[in-house]
Amino acid sequence: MTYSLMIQEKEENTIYLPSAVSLSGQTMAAFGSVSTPCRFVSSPLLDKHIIVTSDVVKRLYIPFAADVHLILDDDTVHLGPLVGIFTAGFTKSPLRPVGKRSFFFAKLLSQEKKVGGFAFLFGAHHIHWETGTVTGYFYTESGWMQREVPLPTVIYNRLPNRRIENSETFQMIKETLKNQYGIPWFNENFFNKWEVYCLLKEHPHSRPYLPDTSLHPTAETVQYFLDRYGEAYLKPANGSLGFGIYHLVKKNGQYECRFRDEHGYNRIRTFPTLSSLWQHLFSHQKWDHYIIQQGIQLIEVNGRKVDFRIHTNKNEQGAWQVSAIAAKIAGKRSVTTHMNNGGIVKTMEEIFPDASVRQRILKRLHDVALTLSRGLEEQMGITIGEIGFDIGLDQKHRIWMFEANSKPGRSIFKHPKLKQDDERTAMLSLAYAVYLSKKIIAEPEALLQ
Amino acid sequence: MNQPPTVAVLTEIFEKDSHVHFGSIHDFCEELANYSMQRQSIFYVTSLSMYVKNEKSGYRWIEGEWRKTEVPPANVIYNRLHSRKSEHSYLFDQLIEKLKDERILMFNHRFLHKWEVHQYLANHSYLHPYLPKTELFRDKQTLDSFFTQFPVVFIKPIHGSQGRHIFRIEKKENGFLLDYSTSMKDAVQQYASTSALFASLKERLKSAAVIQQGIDMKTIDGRPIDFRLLCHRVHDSEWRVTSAIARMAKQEQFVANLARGGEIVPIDKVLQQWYERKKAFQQKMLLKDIAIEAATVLASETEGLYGEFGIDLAIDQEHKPWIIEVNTKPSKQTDMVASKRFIRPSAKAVIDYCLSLIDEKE
Repeated sequence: MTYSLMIQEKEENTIYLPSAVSLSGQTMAAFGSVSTPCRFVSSPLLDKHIIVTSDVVKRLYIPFAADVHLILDDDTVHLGPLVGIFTAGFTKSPLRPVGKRSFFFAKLLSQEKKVGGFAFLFGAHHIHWETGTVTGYFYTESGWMQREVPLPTVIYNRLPNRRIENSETFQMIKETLKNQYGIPWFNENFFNKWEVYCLLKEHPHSRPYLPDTSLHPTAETVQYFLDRYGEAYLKPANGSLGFGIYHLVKKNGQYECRFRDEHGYNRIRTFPTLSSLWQHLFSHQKWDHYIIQQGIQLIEVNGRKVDFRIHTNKNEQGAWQVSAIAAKIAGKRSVTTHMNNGGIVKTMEEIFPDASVRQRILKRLHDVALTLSRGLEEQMGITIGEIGFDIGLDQKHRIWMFEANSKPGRSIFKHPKLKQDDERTAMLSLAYAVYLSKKIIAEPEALLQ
Repeated sequence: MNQPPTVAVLTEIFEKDSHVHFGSIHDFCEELANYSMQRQSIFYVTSLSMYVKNEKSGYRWIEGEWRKTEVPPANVIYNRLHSRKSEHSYLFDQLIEKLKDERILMFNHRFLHKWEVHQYLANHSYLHPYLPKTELFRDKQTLDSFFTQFPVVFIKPIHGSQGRHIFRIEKKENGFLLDYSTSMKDAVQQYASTSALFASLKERLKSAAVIQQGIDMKTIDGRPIDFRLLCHRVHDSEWRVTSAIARMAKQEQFVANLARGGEIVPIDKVLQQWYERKKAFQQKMLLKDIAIEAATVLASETEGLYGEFGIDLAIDQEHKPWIIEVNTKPSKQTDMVASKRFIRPSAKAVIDYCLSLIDEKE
């Protein structure tokens, strides 16, 4: 439960708590990484409120009054939690702090009122190492505002791309905050497709949903995949948004390749032999960072291929749940169902109007997505709070997992009927951050393997 | 499909002798017709009664003139009825039934009034920073409560448009100054108390109204500036801004609507007068982001289909943008017509959206 924090303009070094909060001799108050000795008074007059005097507010860097959780350990009452969302790409405009992604973060942060605590956005240059504080961007009823606060209780990584994530600066900041300050991160890195495949292959419950995959395609492996499966995809192991994907099909003794050219046009080229295809399209490129994946005969709606984006989140109890499912329909000539590729998003109701058929499929998709989420987290050994899966159903209704994304795009949520799912997934990310904060405070050693 | 995709515009048609006129969207219809031709589709203009009574006729643009001729059934209808009365008529109810039976899509489904727009937007807390505080104007208490929070408040009829019948009230040391947007000859009136003010307003307001926090708008030469962003839907899940202009209020006028003597100014010119180049760019992008978010939210909250909104925004003295109001029948005078041969992006956007709806239904 949360308490509404009120600030009293007195300098009494005191926090007044409802008498239902059972104290056991705590002498310190903490907010994020900062703590201070202070006096606690139990008041029978309080029920859903706590009162903090302004001197304590100032010493703890509490940015404004809000609803907070109280987390008690042996000697400290923690207010908060304070959740930091890490990203990059800040502009100089305080009204649009991260350019076109500002509304994405505004939507995420505005869910904070539903879960309690404080969430803010920050980047590398906002951290003040000498004071152990950070100037974070908060999103309030009057919009974006910057406040200096302690280092956060937990950090949710929302860096925009792999390049920044792989930079030395980022790696150093992450390691320092993790190891020296004991601040846990979740979704701390982008997934690599080959690594995901190898890890899930070792997870018996996940294994049946993986299309056959191998690293570093050669003319020989392509031949093998096409002979065996009739079609195959070549994908960059570290790709996003469907860029750089080739779809190969062996059809009527010919070899067909679909891809997007450098100008963004969907192209189809046909060759009489695989070696001529390889010669013309592939021989002057390096393939060591590519994977080849077995092609699946996806179900079709009105002659267009359909796959699914399934979003899973951990909730306020730290348990996985499916937070959104949408169907993605491929563009008429395109390689993938990505939206930037002529694909469109439909709701499950639109794709499966028959309720019983829909329920049956939904149930199976749910189960698989949860199995895969647990499997990935177990195998990776890192803390994950949110995953976006690309999952397909073949014409025999077998389920296949094509991709897992640790920073799932939000494009499906532009569909008007998925607006609520958009808000729910955002809310769950913060609800999980609260759960993780409570856990790190209660058992700090548990999370720092 | 055996017949080319067909788009109809539903609007008020004024026929007199051999002349026909489509009111404020007359020229716009010509652009729609020309662009439909380029996209190999059929386009015609119809009225509520022509369509409902199944006359199978409409106005098509043929050889440089509008001719009443036989037309095929439309696949998509673009609703540009401008009279609120016609959308509350028995004929309109019949239209909705007919479209449902025949599974024909129509946008914009119907006019949305100011109070429902506000409530839809307010359902999404991330938009709160950009929404002026707004309530239904019911009683003197509302008036009192607004004046404890804001020095200036506006009162606007919920069905009003084009800046008509808007009251601006400013709290002064010794009373309240009431200004009115429609008639310029009325001098500004002064009231000693909110009771006197309320009594006067009650008498002058003929229908439901909202009370809204006054925004201290940025100005040029003392003339308030607002912005009109025209948003069109590309498909189910995507909106874009097709035109963005600034409007400068006439001297002594507090609304910038063109119908109230406001004047169109290029948006970049205004922003660059206020800000250095980079900041002007961020502000323009922010206005666009907000407009797109508002359109997206309205499309998800409303029943019925919407494909076009005109979003009015203002920037306050602290540089923060605000959503002033949203128009479901946005004026076609805000994006400039360059020449007779020119087809405005907004006309193209309407037809493109119609065709994408038809394409998706297949």
